[in-house]
Parts: sequence; C-alpha cells; structure tokens
Amino acid sequence: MKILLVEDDEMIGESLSKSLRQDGYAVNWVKDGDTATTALKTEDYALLLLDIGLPKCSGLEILKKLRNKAEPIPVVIISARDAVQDVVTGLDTGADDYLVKPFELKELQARIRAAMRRKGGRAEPHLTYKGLALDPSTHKVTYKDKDVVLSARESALMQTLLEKPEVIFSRAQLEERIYGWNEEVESNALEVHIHNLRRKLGQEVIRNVRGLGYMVGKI
Amino acid sequence: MKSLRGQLLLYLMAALLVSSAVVAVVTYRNAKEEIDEMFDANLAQIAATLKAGRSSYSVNMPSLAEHPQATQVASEADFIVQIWSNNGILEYASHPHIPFPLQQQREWSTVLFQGERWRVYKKLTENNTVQVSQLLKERMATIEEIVISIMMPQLVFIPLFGLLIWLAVGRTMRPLAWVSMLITKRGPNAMEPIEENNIPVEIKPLTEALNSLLKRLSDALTTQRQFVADAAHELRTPLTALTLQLNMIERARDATERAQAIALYKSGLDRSIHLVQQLLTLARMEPEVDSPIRPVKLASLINVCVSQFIAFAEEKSIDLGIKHIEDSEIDGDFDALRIMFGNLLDNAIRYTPAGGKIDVILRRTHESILLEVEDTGPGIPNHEYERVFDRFYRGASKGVRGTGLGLPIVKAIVEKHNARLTLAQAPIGGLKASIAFPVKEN
Repeated sequence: MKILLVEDDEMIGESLSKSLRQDGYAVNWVKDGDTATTALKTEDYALLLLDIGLPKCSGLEILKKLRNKAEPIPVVIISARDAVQDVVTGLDTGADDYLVKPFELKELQARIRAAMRRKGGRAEPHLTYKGLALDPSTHKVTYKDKDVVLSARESALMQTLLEKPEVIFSRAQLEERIYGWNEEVESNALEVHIHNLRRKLGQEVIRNVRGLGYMVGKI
Repeated sequence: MKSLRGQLLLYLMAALLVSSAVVAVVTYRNAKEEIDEMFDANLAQIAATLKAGRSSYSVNMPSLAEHPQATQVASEADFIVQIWSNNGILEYASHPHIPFPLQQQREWSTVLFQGERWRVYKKLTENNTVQVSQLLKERMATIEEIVISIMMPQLVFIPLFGLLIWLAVGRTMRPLAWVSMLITKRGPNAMEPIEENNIPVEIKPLTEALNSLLKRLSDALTTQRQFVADAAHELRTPLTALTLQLNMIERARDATERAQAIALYKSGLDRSIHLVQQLLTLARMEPEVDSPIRPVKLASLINVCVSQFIAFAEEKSIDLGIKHIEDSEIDGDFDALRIMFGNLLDNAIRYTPAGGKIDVILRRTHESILLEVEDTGPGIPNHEYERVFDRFYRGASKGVRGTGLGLPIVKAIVEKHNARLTLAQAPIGGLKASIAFPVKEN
C-alpha cells in the first residue's frame, strides 16, 4: 500500500511519513507541487495525502490535473484552511476527504483506510475472500475461526493481494506497492514475508505461480 | 449642553430687540419733532387769531383770594391764553385763576411753572402782548401714544418671530438629525460610507471627514483581520507537527524510538515558541505602540548583535565581520533596533551557504546614516523585493525554515524610526539590505 505524501512542512512531513511507515504503508514524501506531479506520473499509488498550501503549485492544482486525467486514486486533503468554503472547494475539486490541521494520527489513519476502502468499492471495513477476513486497521486476519495478528508489512502485502483476489501480482509489483523510495529492501525480503504469512495462515492461502508471481485464490 | 437652535434663537431675538429699540428711539424723536412743530404752529395760530379777532378785552381779573384752589388746577389746563396791555395790565386770561407769569423771552420759550414744563409763545402787537402757553406733558402724552401705537405690533411680532425661527431652524437641522440617525443605526462592523446625496453643503465636510475616517478604520480592520487569520493559520502548522510528534512518542515501541520522538517534539516546541515570540514582537512594533526613545550609539548596537550571532556564523563557516564603521548616534528604541539588526544578521546567516561572507557597514552621508548588511547568499529576485515584507511570505528558497515574520518585523521597526529600508544586489554577490536613518538634528 503505497502512499504519496505531499507536504512542504519538514516536521509534519517527517512525523507523518515515519508514522505511516510504522503502520505498514510505503510512503513517498515530496515537498512541492511540481515534484508531486512528476511522482504521480511515474508511479502508481494507493492514496494521495495532499497539503494545499504548497510552494510552486498549489495542492488544488495538482488535484485538478489528476481528476482531469480521470485518475481514480483516492485523495485525502490535509490542510490548515478550515473555512467551510475551503472544505467544499477541496471536496468538489475531487478530494475524497478533507482533514483540517491539526489532527490526531489515529483519525488520519482511519480516514486513509476509509478512502482506500471506498475506492475498492467496499462499504465494510474488512477485506474478505472465501472465509478469510483481514481488518487493515488492526492487522488481524480471521481464518478458519482463528484470529491471527500480522505485522504491518505482512498486513500490507495481504491487503494488496486481497484487493484483487485471483489476480497474479509480480514480485516487482508487490515490492513497489509495499516499499517506499528510500527503504532498503533486501533481495529476499518479499519471500520472507510470504513465508511468514503462509506459516501463520496456512500454505494454501498464497499461491506461487512460477515465473509470474503470487496470488490469493482457490483456497 | 450647547444647542445650535437655542443659540440661533437667542442671537436672532437679541438682534430683533435691539433693532426694535433703535426703531422706537428714532420713531420717538421723529414723532417728537413733528408733534412739536405741529403744536408750536397751533400756539402761533391761536396767538394770531386772538390778535386779529379782538382789539380790546375787558376782563374781570379775579384775585387769587377768590380761588384758593387755583394753583392746584393749573396743570389741568391744555392751553392758557393771556393778553396783556402795553402798560402791563392783564386784559384777558383764559384761565383767570392760574397766575401764569408773563415771560421775558420773546416768541418761543420753555419754562417751569408749578413744577410742570410749559411751552410758551409770546407775541407783541401794537397794543398788547398775547401769550399762549401749553403744558408740555400733554405733548409728551401724545408722542408716547404715537410711539406706542407704532411699536406695539412689533412687540407682538417678536415672540411670533421667535416661534417661526425655532421651527425654521428645526426644519433646517433635519438633515443633521438624519445623518446622526444613520450613524446611530450602524452596527460596530458597518464600514460602508454614509450616503452623501441630499446632504447640505454645511454638513458635507462632517460626513466627508467621517467617511474618510470610516475608510481608514475599515482598511485597518481588514489588515488586522487578515493578520489574525494568517496568524491562526500559521499557528496550525507547528501545532499539527506537535500533535503528530506527540502521537509518535505515544506509539514508540522502544526507548530509542521514544528518545528520537521526544527530540523531534522538542524541536517542534522550539519552533512554536519562536513563532509566538515573533508574533508578539510584531505586535509590539505596531506603529501605535509607544516605545522608549533614547540616543543609541549604532557602533555599540552592531557590537552587541555581531557578538550574539558570531557563534551561529562560525557554525556555518561564514565569515561575519565589519567592513567599515563610522560612529553615529540616532534616537531610537535600543531593544527594537537590536531585534531589527539581529533579524537581518540571522537572515543573512541562514541564507548564505557555508563558506560565505557577510559584511556589516555603517557609514554617513549628508542626509542619512546608513546601516548595511551584505552577504554572498542567493539574494532575492527583484520582483520579490516588495513581497518579502508581507507577513508570512516565504521565498521559494528551499531548506531554510522560517516564520515569514522576520522581514516584516524589520520593516515595522524601520518605519517606527522614520528610517527607510532598501534591498538590492550586493557588490559581493548576494543580498544587500540597507537601512537609512535620518541624521539627528543639531
């Protein structure tokens, strides 16, 4: 689950990216509008966390461009502007949610989950597939009447696979979705996570299709 | 309380009374002259008639003894006609019981007889002397009657005039009442100008002055509101950082993470404190806030500030020094000037890359004392010279964290000292900020 964070304030950006990484999200953090536009062109993101008061190009401009290209990526605006008109403009320009600064991390996390969930066309907070249910907020999987707690990264991996069950994800696709720009990824890190998931849930949960990648399906 | 209506009424009534009095006096004089002439002519006519009509008279001259009350009735007579023979015998008297004496004066005279004033006409003829006398009191009564009959209507009109003036002034003052009603009805935030249509010329200066005051007030209020809104907005950012940093302390999983989070939290707190201090400084430098003005030696100001910032400069390997100094004194607020110069040095050090140079110059020209700071930093593009003085404006330069209040504070202090701040390209490459203080008189 990769998030693009656009925030020009050093302190907020640093705290947010650190916290979100702890939650298992991969975070790419940019500080101005131009870099944000470039980042959006070159990579796929699960969510855009957007500040409005940015140097060079305002957050609303970025959002407008994005929606003009019919990009469906969920967008959560984080802004210090709290006037009703600002919120209305933000939402009408195409944001899925608008969070006024200052906010608590917990609230931001919940709103990020909600935005991603809605984008996946789901109303319920859990991802389910054939008796397997993942709660992304608690990283808990219920399978065969057992509750299993996953690590943040394992949960992110599971979430990616469960968003599109029975679809094969390549190793590179999975790595891109769960790791951010500056994270050092060991060559076998993905295999370790898959191994752990299989150990916790059972071999049959994640299938390996040789030469193509991994998928959840045909449990 | 002073009332225009009352004052106007008072003045106009006083003027009316004075003019009436003058009219009365003039009327009295004229009437007297006319009446005197008329009665004198009467006297002369009576005398002439007697002279022509009768050549001799036989009169029973009653003695005073027969009429003991004679003296008391003298004033009741209108005219007293007397005829004396040439040898001094009273031949005829219209009122025999009044012993009116024969006058020495020929023709006209005014005499006192029995406590009353009489007008006397004495005519000498061939055979006798005719004397006609008239009590002056009679004349006076007639004159008074005439004067009163003329003045009376005026006296009746004066209060009527007063009433009319009162009403007319009230009516004229109505636009004033209208304007004050318009002003009274306003809420504390109504800043739109008072309507100036149908306002009389006399009141227009007042409404114009009020409108210009309203305009200035509204501008000041807008600036103030904008500043408060901006300040609230600016405070949100460090507060957001603080909230998030606190969240990170809460969710730290081990001692190392917690220590890191606490360090971040402290720097976030420092930043919030700095912003609040800058806001306070700016508020204190508002033009309407008084500050102590004393003679300030600029050389010692430079000394204090440079020694304060030298460590910061060395930390960044910047060569901070004084290029030229001429001791000069200005009148000012030392603490404010220290903040001003400190902000300039702080900016210069922040924006100048490591290994750069900052020069401080203090020199005098004919009309001003110039305090200049030059650096080898990136400078400011020309089109941003004005904008950098806007509150909370931050230039596009990356990596330097600021509140956006440093230069506005400098500007406020400069303006408080009637000085002028100019930005330019420094000869050594970066920005040159120069403050021109007016030369102290004497």
